[in-house]
Amino acid sequence: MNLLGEYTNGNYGVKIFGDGTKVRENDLDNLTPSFPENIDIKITDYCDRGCPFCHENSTVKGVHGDILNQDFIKTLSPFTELALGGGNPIDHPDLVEFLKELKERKIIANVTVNQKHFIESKPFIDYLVSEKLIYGLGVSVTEVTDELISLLQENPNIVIHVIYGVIEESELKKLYNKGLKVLILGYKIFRRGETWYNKHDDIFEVNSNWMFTELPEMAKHFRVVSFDNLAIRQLEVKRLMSEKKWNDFYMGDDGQYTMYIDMVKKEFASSSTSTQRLTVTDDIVDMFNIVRNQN
Amino acid sequence: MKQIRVGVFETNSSSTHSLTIVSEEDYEKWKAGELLLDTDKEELVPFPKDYVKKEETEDNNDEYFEDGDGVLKTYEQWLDTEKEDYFGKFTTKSGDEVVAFGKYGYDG
Repeated sequence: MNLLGEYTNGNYGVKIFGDGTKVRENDLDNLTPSFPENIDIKITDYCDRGCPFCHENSTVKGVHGDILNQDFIKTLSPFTELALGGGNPIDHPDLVEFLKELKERKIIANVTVNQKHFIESKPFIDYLVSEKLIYGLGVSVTEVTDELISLLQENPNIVIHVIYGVIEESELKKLYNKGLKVLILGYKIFRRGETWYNKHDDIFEVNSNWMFTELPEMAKHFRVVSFDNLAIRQLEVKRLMSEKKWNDFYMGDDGQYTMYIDMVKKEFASSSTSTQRLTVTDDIVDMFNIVRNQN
Repeated sequence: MKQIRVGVFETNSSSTHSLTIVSEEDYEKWKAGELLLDTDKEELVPFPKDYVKKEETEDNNDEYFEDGDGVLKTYEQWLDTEKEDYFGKFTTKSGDEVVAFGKYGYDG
């Protein structure tokens, strides 16, 4: 496990390793940052998938963000992680140039794509990985095939994204015992996600009840199981561990060490589902302080 | 104060929280010398047929086996690594004891 970077943020030190492992540490009883460790960035609203539960409402009419001319990028600290998404981020025509700029600034870029785009664009994604333009790769999965599993196994830094209440038992079990990493996302009853939920609450009920019960067993069948904050609440993940373990494991509320920026609409917020949004400024620290004060 | 995110990069809008988990049965087998830890894949695996033990080597090298995919370590070898370790245990609803463990540190 090689060390990618080491830095000081506020009153604590951070180490980040080649497999994504991150360690925050100090001798105090609190970890208080000065700038965001992770930023979720929406770079496009364009997507041809039309997923019925997409909380971003992305479509083929969606536009790309102006990602090469936003000054706040110059104020990011080295080894900040960016989770680039959309829409379909790999359809953005300026993606490679943007990633090269981030690499020069020692920013760790991670990208999330849909499984269809992952398969279709595998050579391009392989290029981004081999050039170290991206490190983590999220792949949103709803239907599991042997071809998909084989491709997912090629890169140890791939994390499979599944949505609580959407992924079916039969599909998730196909991924068991394949040495894979999974990120469970909470279900966002937001935009198209609300429409899908209202139409398919019976399906949601079956899928979510199964995962809630299965979770402790499920965890044994993946190399790593991870959660976003919404999934932690919906799945009551805290029931799985002691208070001490929870304190070591829980990486913070939305907006505590993280924030969200929509480069299409030029807005920022604590997370992608926050309705408290403000216009992007040219300084990441200023924006982060506003987000933290909102919390 | 210390917080650790194990084995994943941030690919999502909110903080990612991760666990690395094996069954306690396998963990105990590893401690008893019946399994090896593949430190690259972070999995407990059976001993390969051509595994070479320390007392069987001419130069008395440390006990290890390298198969090209990564180094396989016994529990004792893993403990000897000059890195910090973490460990946690909980019980599943079906009564299985499950163990989360790992090490972190700088290899370079």
